[in-house]
This record gives sequence, structure tokens and C-alpha cells, in this order.
Amino acid sequence: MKTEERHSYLELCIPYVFGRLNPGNRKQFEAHLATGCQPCTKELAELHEAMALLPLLLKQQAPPSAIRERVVARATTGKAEQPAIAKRAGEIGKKEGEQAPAVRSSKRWYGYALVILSVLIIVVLAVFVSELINTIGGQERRVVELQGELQRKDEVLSVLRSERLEIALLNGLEPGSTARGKIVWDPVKKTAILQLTNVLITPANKEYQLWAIKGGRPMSAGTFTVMNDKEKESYFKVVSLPAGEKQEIDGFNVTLEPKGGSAQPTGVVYLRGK
Amino acid sequence: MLLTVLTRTGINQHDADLLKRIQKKDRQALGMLYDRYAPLLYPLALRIVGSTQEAEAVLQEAFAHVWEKAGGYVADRGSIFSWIVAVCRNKAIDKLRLRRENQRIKEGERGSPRSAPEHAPDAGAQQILAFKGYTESVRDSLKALSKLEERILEMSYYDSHSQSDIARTLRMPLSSVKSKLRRGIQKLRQAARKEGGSP
Repeated sequence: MKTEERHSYLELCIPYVFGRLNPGNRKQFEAHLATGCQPCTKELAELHEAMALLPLLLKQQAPPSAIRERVVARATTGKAEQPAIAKRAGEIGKKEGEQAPAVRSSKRWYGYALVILSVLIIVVLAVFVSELINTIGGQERRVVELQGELQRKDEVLSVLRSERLEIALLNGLEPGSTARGKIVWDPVKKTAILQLTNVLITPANKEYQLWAIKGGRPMSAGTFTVMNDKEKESYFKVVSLPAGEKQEIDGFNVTLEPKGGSAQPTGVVYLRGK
Repeated sequence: MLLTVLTRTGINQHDADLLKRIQKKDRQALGMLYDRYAPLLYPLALRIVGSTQEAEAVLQEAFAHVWEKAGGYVADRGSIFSWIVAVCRNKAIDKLRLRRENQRIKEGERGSPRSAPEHAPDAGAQQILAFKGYTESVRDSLKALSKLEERILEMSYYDSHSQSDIARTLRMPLSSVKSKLRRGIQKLRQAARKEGGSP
């Protein structure tokens, strides 16, 4: 097998472990593994070991004890047991049916009251715990968002720190003629800050795509989504350009494309500039 | 039920013995493997599918798979521990994707990362003890992960998001997501090597 081919299979190991290969590629990769490729097998084993560590970071928690019986029973019979709730409901129903109503009615009322009280306590506790978890989860998400924000700003600063910078102004076209924008880029690193205002919120299943026109040909510089009013007011993103020097770039277009972007522009041009 | 913290080599050997017995359709061995791994797999399933009922179903399906496919385990592709974790994760992700697909059909795209709801354990404190020392050691090794790397790994592993989705959600360049994911995986690999591969 050629080195490049082996390398391309090795590249598939991570998406394979994450279950992100499409069925065709997965089948092809598994067929390749079946040939006994040692580098891929070793890489896969290491990745499996590594990813299996992640669940160890979760708080360990035993499942309800009834599940064990169901697992063993299912393994033996090959049939799925009833879901927990349905089964529990069935058990309760059966026990109720066995009682003699005339003799045990008062005891039953006490029993009902106790059950209702217990359920209420459990519900209140569950709500409390759930709110607590939501609060903590929300704070953790906020920390991650802020870290992301900080990183984006670092990347913006790293562009602005460049010794040479080029700039292009973008103007909105119908139906978003009030939109304005700038592209400030480092021609050596080919890294650019895309800054936009008044761009329409991206419709569902669509994405904006930035194109650098080089030698009359549009070349993709990535996709982006304006998600809300805040982003509509001011949006910025650091992107990589397919070319660096200004004389190489005839201009920039922003088009609306299907989600995931297009190989060539297919949609309406929303902004244009040079 | 395991009452003490065993050595890694001892537990790996123990797993191999159990799997051999399961291949011969020994129900007791399946029960023992369940006792050992259910407290790890249940929170994993819960983290992915988000409901106790579905997590319980995932656990049942995962062990049914182990029962039926024990003979298909390939030692070259990782330890029994990592195989069982992957089986459980795949079953849970299948459920998650099916639900997302149904939601998409019903209401259009909506899904957001969910965190595992806490669920009071009603058994299994002794099984959990068996992993306690190992888990602490792994947690210690994984302190090298930054919060952002951990978040990106979690979004890939538990929420099955593509790198583009993660870039959109975290509003980061795709290239940064890719590099952080690779760095995170690299740190996990280093931790796995340090820990000897499995508990």
C-alpha cells in the first residue's frame, strides 16, 4: 500500500471512533481494517483506550437494581423486558388487585396518603436538584463561551498585530442593502478579520459564504451564520483567505448558500467589495 | 461484587476470564461483568440520552450486545474495558440520533447539548468502590485538559456533534476546533498510556 493511502486511512481513525464516517467510508475503512493493517489497528486501539477514559470523569452512578435482573434475563431469552415505568405500574396494579377492599379500606387510605406524600417529596427534591444542576451547567457553559470569546479576540488581536495589513470595504446589495462590512487581513499569514453590521439573520438551513475573487474565479473563504439580533448589529469572525496579497485578490463577495457551503457560489450576493 | 480496589492487570485478566465465560453463555459471568461496569456505563448512557428510561434501555442493549457478540471482540483493537465503553456509547448515540431525526421531522431542527440529570443511586456503592482509585488517578491525569478542550471532546463524544457544528456553537474557527480536538485527544492518549490502557 502506498504511503499516502495508508496515511489517508489513519486520518479516518478519529472520525471512525466518534462514529462520524458516512456508511460508505465506514464500510471501506472496516474492510481496510479486516486486511490486518497494523498502523490503523494500533491507532484505533489507542484511540479507543483514550476515549474510554472520558466517561471516568462523569460521576459514577449505579443504575436501579432491577436493571441487572433484566439484563441477565434479556441475555437469556433474547427479549427486551418491559420498560421500568410500565413494569412498576403493572406491579402496583397487581398488588392492588390482590387486596380485599372491605377489610383493608382504611389501611389503604393511609397507604395512598403515604405514597402521595413520598411522591411529592421526591418531586420537590427532583425539581430542586434539577434546578441546581441547570444553574451549575449554565455557569459551566458560560465559562466555556467566555473562553471561546477570549480565544476569538486573541485571534483578532494576532491579526491586528501583523506588520502589514490590507483592508477591503464591503457594501450590502438587495435584499440586504443596509449591510456594511470590512475585511482586514494579514497578507503574509492570509488570516483575515471579517467584520459586518446590519447583515440579515441567516435563514434556516442556509449559511453565508465568503468568497475571495482571484483571477476572476471565486474561492471560498469559509461559511458563517448570523444567528440573532446581537450578531446582526455587529458580527466578526477570523477566517483564512485562499490568497494573501491584495494584487492577487480582485474582490470579495458574500453569498447565501445551503448549509455547509457550496463549492461555487449558487446564491444571491448579499455583500460585495474590494 | 467487587469489594476492593484491584490492580489494573488483575482486572484486565478478570475481564478476559469473564468474557471467555460469557462466550460459553455463562449467565453468572454476565452478571459479574454488569456489576463491574454498570456504574460506569449508566452515567455515560444518561449523559448522552438524557433520560433515565432511555439510559436503562441502552444499558440493556449494550449488555445484550456483549452477550451475543462476545466472540467478536478483537483484543488487538483495545481492551475489553474500552470495547464495552464503545459498545455502550454507540448504542446511546444511535438512540440520540434517532430522536434528533424524529424531532427534526416533527419540529424542525432544535437540539441542544444536554447534561446528565442526576439520579439517586439505589444500589451499587460497592461496585463503585472498585473504580474509585483508578478514576481519581485518571482525573488527575486529565487535569492537563483545558476547559475548552474538555468541552470540545464532550461535544464530539457525548453529543455526537460534527466539528463544524461545534465551531458554530462555540463561535470559533473550524481550524481551532480541529486543533483543540486533536490536542485534547493527544492528552487523553497520554493519560491512557500513563494509566496502562484500562482499569
